[in-house]
Amino acid sequence: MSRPSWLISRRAALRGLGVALALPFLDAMVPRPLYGADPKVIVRKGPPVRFGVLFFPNGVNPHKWTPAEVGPFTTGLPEQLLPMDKVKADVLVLSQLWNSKCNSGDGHYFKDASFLTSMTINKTVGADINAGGTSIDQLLAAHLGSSTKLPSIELGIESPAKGVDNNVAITRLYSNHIAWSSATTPLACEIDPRQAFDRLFREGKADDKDKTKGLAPTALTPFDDKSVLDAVMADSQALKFRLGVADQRKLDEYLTSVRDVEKRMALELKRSKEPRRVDPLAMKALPVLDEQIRTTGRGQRGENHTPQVRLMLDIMLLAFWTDTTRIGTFMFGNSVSGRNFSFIDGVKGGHHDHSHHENNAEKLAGYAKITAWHVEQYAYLVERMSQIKEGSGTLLDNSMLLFGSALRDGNAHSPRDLPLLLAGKGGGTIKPGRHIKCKDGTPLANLYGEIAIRMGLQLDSFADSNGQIKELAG
Amino acid sequence: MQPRLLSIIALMGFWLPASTAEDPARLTFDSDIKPLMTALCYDCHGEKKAKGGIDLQKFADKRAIQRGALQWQEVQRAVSEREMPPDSAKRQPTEAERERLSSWIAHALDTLDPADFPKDPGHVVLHRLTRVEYNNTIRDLLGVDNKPADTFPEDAGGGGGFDNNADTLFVPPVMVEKMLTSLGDVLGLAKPETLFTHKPVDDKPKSQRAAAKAILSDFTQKAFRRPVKDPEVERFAKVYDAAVKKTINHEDAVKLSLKTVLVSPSFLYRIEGQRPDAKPYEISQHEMAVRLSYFLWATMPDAELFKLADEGKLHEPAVIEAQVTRMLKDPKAKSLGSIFVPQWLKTEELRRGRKAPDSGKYPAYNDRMRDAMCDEPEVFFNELVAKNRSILDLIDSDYLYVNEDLAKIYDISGVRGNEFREVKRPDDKRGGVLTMAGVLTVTSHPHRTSPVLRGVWVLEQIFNSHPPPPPPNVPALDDKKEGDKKDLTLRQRLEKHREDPTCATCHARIDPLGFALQHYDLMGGWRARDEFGSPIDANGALINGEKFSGVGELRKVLMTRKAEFARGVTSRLLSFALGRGLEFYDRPTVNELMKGLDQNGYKIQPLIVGIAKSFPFRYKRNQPVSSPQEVSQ
Repeated sequence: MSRPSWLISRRAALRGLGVALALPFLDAMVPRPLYGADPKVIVRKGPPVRFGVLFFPNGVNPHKWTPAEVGPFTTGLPEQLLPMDKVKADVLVLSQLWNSKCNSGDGHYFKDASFLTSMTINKTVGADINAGGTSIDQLLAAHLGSSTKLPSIELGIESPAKGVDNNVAITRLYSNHIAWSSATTPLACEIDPRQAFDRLFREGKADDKDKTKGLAPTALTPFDDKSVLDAVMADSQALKFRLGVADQRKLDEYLTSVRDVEKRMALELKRSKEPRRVDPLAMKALPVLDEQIRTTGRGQRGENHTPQVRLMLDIMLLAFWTDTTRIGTFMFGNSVSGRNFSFIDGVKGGHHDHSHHENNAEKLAGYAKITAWHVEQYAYLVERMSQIKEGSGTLLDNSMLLFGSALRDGNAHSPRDLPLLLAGKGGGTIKPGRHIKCKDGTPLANLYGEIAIRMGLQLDSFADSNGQIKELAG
Repeated sequence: MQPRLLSIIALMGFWLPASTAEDPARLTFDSDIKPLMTALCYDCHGEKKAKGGIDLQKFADKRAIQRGALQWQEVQRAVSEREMPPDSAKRQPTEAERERLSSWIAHALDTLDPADFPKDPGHVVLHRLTRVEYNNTIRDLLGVDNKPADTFPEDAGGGGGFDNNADTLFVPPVMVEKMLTSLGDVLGLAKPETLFTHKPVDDKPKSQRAAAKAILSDFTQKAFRRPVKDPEVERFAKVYDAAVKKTINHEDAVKLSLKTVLVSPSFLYRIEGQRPDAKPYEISQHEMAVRLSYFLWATMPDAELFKLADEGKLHEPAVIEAQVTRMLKDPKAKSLGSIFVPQWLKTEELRRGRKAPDSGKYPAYNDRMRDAMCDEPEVFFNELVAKNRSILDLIDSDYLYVNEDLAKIYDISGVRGNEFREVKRPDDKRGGVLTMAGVLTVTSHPHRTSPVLRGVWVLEQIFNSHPPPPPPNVPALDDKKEGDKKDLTLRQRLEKHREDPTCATCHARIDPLGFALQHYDLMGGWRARDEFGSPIDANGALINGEKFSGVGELRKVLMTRKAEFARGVTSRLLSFALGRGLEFYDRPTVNELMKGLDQNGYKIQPLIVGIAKSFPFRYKRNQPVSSPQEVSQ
């Protein structure tokens, strides 16, 4: 997508004015140039803060989501929030936030792919994939991720949807990703709990020992793999001369990833010499989860997939607990997911089908139940994290767990008044247990700015952000 | 940018028989289109004002529009998808006007003269091996079949219809990690004689180095699927040197250098060298071998293809034909069925569990049943290829491939065991892909069948034509007064739905196709009553009034439109072969392939040969080359 040509660069504006004084704030200067601008890493004291995102597709039943009262939860929660009743003291309900830049295009892909970027995707059937910008989790990972083994993890539960959605002429690629390490590089979700677990927690090679005959991968020290990557970089540079520019861009994608892994290997090598302090209770929990993964089926026939979801949430929890990473996303499903939820009493059929409730009472009721199931899974993770002691508080106190969908009502597909929950105290800077009603039309990106600063990254602005959400602190 | 033209055309042909709906071929620009554009478009996109720099008024006739195809396919899309005119426009078109405009532009573009445009083999970037291709290539290169790529993140989902679309294949950091780990495994599992093709004559470092270099020279040629010159081999030999210096023994040092070869982009990507020609150029011999083998086998070329490429024979049409025929006989050609078919027919959604019948209500749908349902179309297609049958068998065949589980659903007796076998069909309830259990299941909701989903499937998968999205704020199917709908059958409710002219534009075309399949339940079994207890009424009529009842007659109707079906299949297969979506400049290629199909009795092997010999398959678009300075930055 070509950039609008009327955007004035700061330099051009300066030249035009012929002065070097502070610039007046020109509207035309606001958009892309300031995307995630001027990040400054702020060193924090105390335990690290974690940021987890639990994304679910297809929105919510709009009538049974928002608490009627603002402030502390004194009366009962709306139906879809009931499953978080016992952890509500740890959760904020945020209303009236919206994601303005995805308020065009189709009902799902534009919304979901920009949930964490707050930008506009390029509509395409395959060529010129572009999400408009880096997602907030990846911006944080890029600046803060070097303190842990992995800068971030991307988890999911549903295999990626394929091909083009011809109804709207958009590649389904957009439906499978909320994490974007650059505007043009989506990060795939790990949907196999075994793979996710081993990558995070296992040194060397996974389960069966037979494979380690001959040259075992453990025999290759990080030095060896580093020499492999060094050589590959040299080879790639030579290869570039043989390629046209479009191919070079594709090769750059590869080189960026190789460099990333190389850098991380060097860091790991350095870190491995320092003693690593991990909560002994977390070390005990690892083999338990390992065993659970071994004994839980894959759940690929539309049956109740709660156990598979719980495994992924447990993996995220342990990743945070052991400080293996501080940033994680989890997708309950791809955009337009039609996953069958008939395992819930009173639900007949698929998620997307229910979300198009057409104000039919039966469908609305089923829709609410499906959302409530998602909230229940979220509440499970919130509760477990609140039970883990860390420093003078809990793991949850040192976290921010965002739960949300990129559209409100699946029948209307609007990215206004998004259904959002935020759990945890962000290291003691957030006062949960309330409903915060933001000013109508507050950008979702304002929340991302607030999350970023609590993680230790100060952003002048992010996407369409235009201010703070001071109410978070209480 | 929008590879939808071909399909839109297929749609027009199928959707708009001239008798009742408007035939765009009979409309003229001056009397039918220009007045519409004047009322709807020119105010903002005309001589006086050209919003976004777009002036449509300067295109004074059909020919001008055809020559501006690149811009007008965007116009067509914006109109068809209701992006234009915007909500703020003074006047909105009626549904009929919108369709007249959109179908006329589509028709104009479809009938453009390819001679007006330079021949273009299309946009294809470096093609990362898909997970399946990676596994197969490792298998054929090293004899290790442990599927290392299964640990990689899933391929992103593709575009242009298939997951081998080069633009949508990425290499995230996690994939680099997993490659490093899994290649350690692979090299550990490979037989020593596969790896150490040259033995040092003695234990002296110099001899060992020479052997390592010889091994690398052999190995890089195979792994990179092209000739490799000495300086390149030497770069990998340096890894060996560094390892030996670190006191790693000879064999492990060789393995480390081989691992480097496998991590290198020349292995991971299908790389086609750029030439600074101004025009599209024919790809090299080895690049042709690679395109052929990944199209038909989803793996690297074998010794014979390598040899022919070395000898410079792979540009000869007769050689290409002989090679395709040979390759289709190889068991590796089964990848066509297992990769192309599930994505085309959408059974992949069942296989991967994104769709499934409700497990409580349909306990018969277990893992084995799911696999049988997904296997059937793949087996059918592979046999079609192996036996060089007509692609029209996909619409209607008097034979089926079943195993015991499927035979039960199809009411066929005497079939035991899991193996698939060919059987004669007992009656016309079965035959072709329309009535396959997997297809009928994937086009159902988890708890009920859906004539709409099935109708859309027929249009999209069989005719490669795509109904436009529904207009916003449609009065919903269920959103009528409670009293109305209680006593109505699903058919009656859908008929009511079609009384609304906004809905009728599409649903009059979608629903009847689906109703012809109403006799099949959610898992593809035959039924006399639907899930609401209503007796099945499988009557339908095309928009031109052509009537049919049940699947047998529907097939006959479809057969009278076999050319449209053939165009759909051809377009899909070509898109799969090229690893990209089709564009308007591919039309001459598709036309030529269609001509071939007609001459060869619709047999599939000549079609595949035709694709392999086609212009976009053998040529590459020239890309701008940047200067070395730019590259090194």
